[in-house]
Amino acid sequence: MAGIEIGRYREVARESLDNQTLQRALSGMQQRIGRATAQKYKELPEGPDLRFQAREIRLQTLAGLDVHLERLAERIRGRGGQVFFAQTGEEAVAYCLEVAARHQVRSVVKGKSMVSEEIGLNQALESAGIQATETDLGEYIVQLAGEHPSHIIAPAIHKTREEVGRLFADKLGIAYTDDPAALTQAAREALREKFLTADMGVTGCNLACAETGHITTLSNEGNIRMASTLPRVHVALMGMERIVPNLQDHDILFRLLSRGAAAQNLAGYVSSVGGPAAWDQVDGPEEFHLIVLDNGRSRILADPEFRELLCCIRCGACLNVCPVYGKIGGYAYGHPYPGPIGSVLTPLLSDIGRARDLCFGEALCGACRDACPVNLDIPRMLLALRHKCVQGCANWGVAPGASKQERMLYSLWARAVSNRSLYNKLLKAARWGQKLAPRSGGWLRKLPGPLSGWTASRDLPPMAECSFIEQWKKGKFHPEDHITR
Amino acid sequence: MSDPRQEAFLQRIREALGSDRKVAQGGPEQVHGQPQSPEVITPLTGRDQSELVQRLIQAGQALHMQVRECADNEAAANTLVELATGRVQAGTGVVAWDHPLIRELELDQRLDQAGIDLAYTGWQGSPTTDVERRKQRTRIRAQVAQAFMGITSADFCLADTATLVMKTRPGHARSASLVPEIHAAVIRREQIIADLGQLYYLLTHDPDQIQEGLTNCLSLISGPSKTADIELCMVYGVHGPREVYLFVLP
Repeated sequence: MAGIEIGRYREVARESLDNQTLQRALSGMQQRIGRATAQKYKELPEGPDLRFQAREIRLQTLAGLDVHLERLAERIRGRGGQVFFAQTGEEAVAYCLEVAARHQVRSVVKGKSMVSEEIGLNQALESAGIQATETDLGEYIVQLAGEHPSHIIAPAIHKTREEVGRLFADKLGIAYTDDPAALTQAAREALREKFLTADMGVTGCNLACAETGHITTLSNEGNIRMASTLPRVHVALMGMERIVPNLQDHDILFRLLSRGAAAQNLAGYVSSVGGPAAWDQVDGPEEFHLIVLDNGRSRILADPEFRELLCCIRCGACLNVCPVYGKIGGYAYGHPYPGPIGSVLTPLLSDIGRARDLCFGEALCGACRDACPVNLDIPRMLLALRHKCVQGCANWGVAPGASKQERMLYSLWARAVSNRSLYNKLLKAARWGQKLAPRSGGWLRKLPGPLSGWTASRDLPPMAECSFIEQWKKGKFHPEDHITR
Repeated sequence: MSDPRQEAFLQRIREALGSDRKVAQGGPEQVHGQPQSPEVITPLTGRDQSELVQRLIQAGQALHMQVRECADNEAAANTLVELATGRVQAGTGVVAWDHPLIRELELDQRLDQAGIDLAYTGWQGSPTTDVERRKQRTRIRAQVAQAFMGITSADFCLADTATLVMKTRPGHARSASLVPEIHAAVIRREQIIADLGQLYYLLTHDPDQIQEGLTNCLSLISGPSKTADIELCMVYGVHGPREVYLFVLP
């Protein structure tokens, strides 16, 4: 898969933990946006329970997905737009290149699109000698730096203003400044030139509406409106699941999307595009192409265990509350989908076995589920993925991952806990054995042999000298001692 | 439509869904299943228009967008010209939609007196050939790119989110509300409605709106262009307008 990269999870996570600047940026972002989003859900006229309704809408939409897509395509074609159904990322890329070649495109401006990252469009355009410029300020910054976005909505969250200042001084040839307003102005000037001279604009699609036959994009910067208005060709990429049946459902999902993404009531710019400029219109693109992408999504759709994942509207709300993302940042997850959503999506779109660290890294705390505008049960799906990693799964091509040693340990454990007297003997042995283990503050610091994994990154509380049952039998157990503590 | 690629694509979806595949009764639009009635969404009547204006002004403030009520065309025109005079830079001008509400303001002379060029983004005589059309589009594009201010109207304005709603029509350049540093919109009070739900209700229930549809591009604009991509610091005017003004006529 050209665009999807599975990160070096452990290594990058370790580096990120040591990066004080990143730690400050992540915690600042989570405190601001994470909390504000929760507040915005509460302020909804329908209350936070609208999330459950939104989830229901998404699930019902998926149940008739073929019909909705057919309808969308028919209406867009009715306005003179072209619709291409791409089974794979390669097909989507090839189609883009074909359109670009037909129009002798030399320069492309891009509005933010996760799908374009997923299919590796930028690299393909560059190899075809076409300059592709990201125009979202955050994405522009990371593109200039030769990096990937580290957050779905705030791609350059890991960069300080000083870093951006040095980058712009180096790449744009401006005098060094660390003033965000001045830096933004410099980017405006550089990108304005790109917008006015680009031959083709590429955007994503936040939500399409089958009833009216439009794709909808949203931004706060206006860059996506620029990319879909100024160049003579507009190509929009959408994951096949990003559609709602009618405007009423669109209203509900759209309000939740704006709240989930940036704690806003509505994004600054929302464009519903349904085709190229009509003959009597004074501006707008002469050609409009919509690429509907499968790229592994129908496989997810076919698996009832993971189907709900396709309800996701990529708002990034789960990143803003996740305690793990909040510490390790976006890069550990690979590319392009970070955070809790990436931990489920990346394995399913690429290779569960190779992406196993992602499934095991999250804490299963459930914060992502509560922040999700469509109430995705990410912890449940993570557990299902872990199960596959350990037991193996022919359907998804996952080999059983547990080591012989681990299996042996668990089968012994199973025997011990199902036999009372054996269990008691083990307890006694362990109580005696733990006297030998080094301690810190009363806790066990290091266990021997195969058990050392448990204590590699944390201490263990020692076993009580006397178990509950033993205390009870000896009449030594006094509930009040325990209640007051 | 006999597109074999599309058919194969949709067939894969049908197979993936298997027996779970459901298409709601009453047509695919009705997936949500609930009847759409004005009560469900937002009451269309019973809201005082002046209350809406107040809500609009408040919502605008939060978004860095200035909403001004004008007593009449004269007052609106004067304020607009004053604004333009204060902001004009050498070599730049004003572009405006070719729209009756804007034409009524008679800005041509007033701006001319202030030494500011005004260009309307309408056809100069409807083009009949591709070449002629391209020429005119190129002219309009150049004028918009050179402008420091774009004047437009809107179809509706949503009070709750200070959102301008614009369909795309001949003479109404989309870029006029996007490319110049300042965007000024002129609407009538009666065009203010409550929120997105009400807009969507109108678009799907009002016979005139249904007839016209969303057009090939429906734009919703709430405040100036903004970004918080550098250390979450809010900066206005990253690509689109830095300042947005809304003039509400009676």
